[in-house]
Amino acid sequence: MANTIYAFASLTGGGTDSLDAIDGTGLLDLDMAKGVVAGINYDYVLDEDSGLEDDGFRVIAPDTNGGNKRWILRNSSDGLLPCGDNSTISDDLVAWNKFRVLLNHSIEAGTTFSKDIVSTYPLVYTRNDAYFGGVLSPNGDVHFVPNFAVVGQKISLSGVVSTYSLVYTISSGAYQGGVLSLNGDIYFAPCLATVGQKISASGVVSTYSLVYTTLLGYRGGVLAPNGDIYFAPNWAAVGQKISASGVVSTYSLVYTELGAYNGGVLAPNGDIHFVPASATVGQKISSSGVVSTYSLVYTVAGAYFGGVLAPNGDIHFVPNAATVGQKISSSGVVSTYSLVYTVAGAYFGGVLAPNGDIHFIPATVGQKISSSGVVSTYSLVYTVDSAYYGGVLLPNGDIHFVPYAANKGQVISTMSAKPLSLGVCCSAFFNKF
Amino acid sequence: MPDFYGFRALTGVDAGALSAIDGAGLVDKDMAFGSVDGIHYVYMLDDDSGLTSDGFRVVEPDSNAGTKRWILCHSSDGLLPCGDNSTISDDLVAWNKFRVLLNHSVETGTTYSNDIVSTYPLVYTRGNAYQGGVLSPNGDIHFIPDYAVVGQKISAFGVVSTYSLVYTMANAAYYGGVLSPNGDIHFVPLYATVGQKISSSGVVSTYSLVYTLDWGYYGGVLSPNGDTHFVPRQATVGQKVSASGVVSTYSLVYTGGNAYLGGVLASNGDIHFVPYTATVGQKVSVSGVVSTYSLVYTDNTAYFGGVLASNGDIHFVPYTATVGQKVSVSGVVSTYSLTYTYMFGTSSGGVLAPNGDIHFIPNAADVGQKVSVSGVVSTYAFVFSIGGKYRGGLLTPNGDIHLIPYGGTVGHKISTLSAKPFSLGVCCSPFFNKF
Repeated sequence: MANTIYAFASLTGGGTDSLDAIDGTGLLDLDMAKGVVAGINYDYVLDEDSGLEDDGFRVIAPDTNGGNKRWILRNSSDGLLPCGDNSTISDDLVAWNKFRVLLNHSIEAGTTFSKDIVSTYPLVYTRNDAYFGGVLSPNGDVHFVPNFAVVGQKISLSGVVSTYSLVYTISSGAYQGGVLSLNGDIYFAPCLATVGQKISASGVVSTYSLVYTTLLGYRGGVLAPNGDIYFAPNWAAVGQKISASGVVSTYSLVYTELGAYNGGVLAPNGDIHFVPASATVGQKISSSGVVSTYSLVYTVAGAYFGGVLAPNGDIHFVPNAATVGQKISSSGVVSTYSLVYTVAGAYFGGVLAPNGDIHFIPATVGQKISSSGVVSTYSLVYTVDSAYYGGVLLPNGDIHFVPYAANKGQVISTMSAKPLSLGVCCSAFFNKF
Repeated sequence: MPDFYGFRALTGVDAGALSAIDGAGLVDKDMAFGSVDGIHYVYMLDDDSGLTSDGFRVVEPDSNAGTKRWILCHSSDGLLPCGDNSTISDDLVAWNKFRVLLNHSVETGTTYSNDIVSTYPLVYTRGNAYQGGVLSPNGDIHFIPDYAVVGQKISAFGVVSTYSLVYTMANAAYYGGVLSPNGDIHFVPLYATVGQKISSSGVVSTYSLVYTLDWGYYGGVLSPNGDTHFVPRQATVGQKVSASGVVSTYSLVYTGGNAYLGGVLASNGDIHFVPYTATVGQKVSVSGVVSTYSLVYTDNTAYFGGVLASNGDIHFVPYTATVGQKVSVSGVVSTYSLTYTYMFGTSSGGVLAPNGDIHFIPNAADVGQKVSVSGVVSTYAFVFSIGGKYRGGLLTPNGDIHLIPYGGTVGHKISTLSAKPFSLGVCCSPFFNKF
């Protein structure tokens, strides 16, 4: 029997013109479906005995009489990187759905080898507790955020490591995490520091006044869809943000606690989620600035440290003291999953690789989650307790770990066939701690 | 449920063209699939679009269109045409494939809504140091020495360094340059009495010219057959260097004082000289025929360099002109309003960014000015103050636009943070890699 080509105008939702509304009864293996949704072209082919889990994008099951029949994505147009500062990213998920198409092109394009290559390199400056988190600059340099370090340190795209002077340093945890602003400045998140500090795209380091400071105030930050930078509250009793024009202000939080959150993640709908450390509830800020909390499945003191947005829109919390992984889906469902390796202080921060793997930044054992949800571990070249805090993805596909206690740099070469571009690596979805 | 249609041409008289599908029977979200010259296209009908047809991204039915438009949703990769084997020609087949390739970058977005402007140190600076620049096959950006006594370049990784030149003079030696098919970068002789080039392996050498004159040539363009043409400023004859290095001259139709500054390779392979003080446009066809055409706006020192847009328009870069001016693919000359003009030379040279913006490189202006892919003109802040600082710019494969330091004492660049920057091959294309 000849195959049929179907048309659709939406992927899911069950509407009369959606792909999942096509009754599975009449579908044959290798039937095709073509559609344009929000300007993105999609081509699907039916696999009658697939049985894969429906993810609403790469795999779509018919709403009726689906059985094992699944529409499998075979081709799509390029997708679109949403601007990170003009409120394009919003609740309707249109911007995200275009962005995931773009990410999927890298995921599907393959890698040179089945395993990543791990290697080390010399650093110019090392000390205990030196740096905490990192940020990619618009020229491709990776800047390490100074914690106890008294000099800034960066590594260029060509691998040259160098240091530079800071304006403000203290002999304890000055800054922990950072964010790229829309004018190219990298803002360090104030932990024990009493002034803000940033470095411009031209390399000029400067300080600015904060409205609120306290011991261990903030850890990490996130760029909101309107261009504001939000610092993630750790011990802070109020939220603090910096507008696109540099105005610093505070706002009320719903939940506060000492050691509440470590880092944050920009969600597909524009919400900013703070990553729960000792907090017993999740907390988020909507794109319109509404702060709210939600229930978690698993909590423990120091549970998670940093978070990563997966290509399917899930936010993964990076396990530190936690013995299970925890994630929140793009529809807000919180769930847990098993880890292969757990130990107190296991991981600090994480990075999405071009092939869709999420890497937790390790002390002694590497651990990652594939785009299909498989958790696995891998060996490192160099290990020491509290070795690295945070990581940064470069446009060549390398993931650099940020040295905390480590006395050498460590990098994972993902050897992606289609690395994410500098523009994508700098996206607010990824480029922060 | 939407219907499917097929086509074998986008527009034109072919009954199988997309535009030939009668609009009367079309409904919202109908789809059309076609293959034209080996490029696969997918369009979707928008029944209340009303956008202006550009024959590519937006196609209007020839009959009963109303506000119905076919909107391009997907295409295969497109093709970068070879710059030296006469592939680029009047039939526009090569261009039409190339614009598809460009469109993939234009449509893929940027990290932020604004570009990021930053500075970096230079090794050598002086007044009137360099004019124009060329991207080499290894990713280095070479500045073209004007008064500078050393060459200067920036590597793909941002390392700035200098190198020795064979020939220098105390004033205005060269202005602009061209990448030749063998990788040599030819400097365009302004006051210089010998040609000078640097090979892809870094060897600097000179060669004899057939014709020299003070203020002789200003900028150059690689023609589709691999010849490097110098753009006549005061010169009374054209001059070119063949792919095999033979230098020769040819007659011009129009010559005059300070006639043209810079040139652009058009979508059909014509080389357009950019009118500075000239009262007519002048171009050289693929077959070497020189001709002139009427301009809408002329003035002394009107335009300084030009840029090929992603839709095939050639934009002249306003120096003292008070309006923008462009030439369409079909040769229609028109003007448009600018946001910023300055009587002492607004801008000199321009660059096409991966998102389709055309950036005019600020000369004496203290702001940047750009034209978006939809034709919106806007300005943006620069770090430096007013004065003759930069002449020309270059796009690199990471999406950065570097300004060429004329009087500037620091390097300047614009980070476009494109999701899909142009590759090195595209950046080196003769459509873009010249002044």
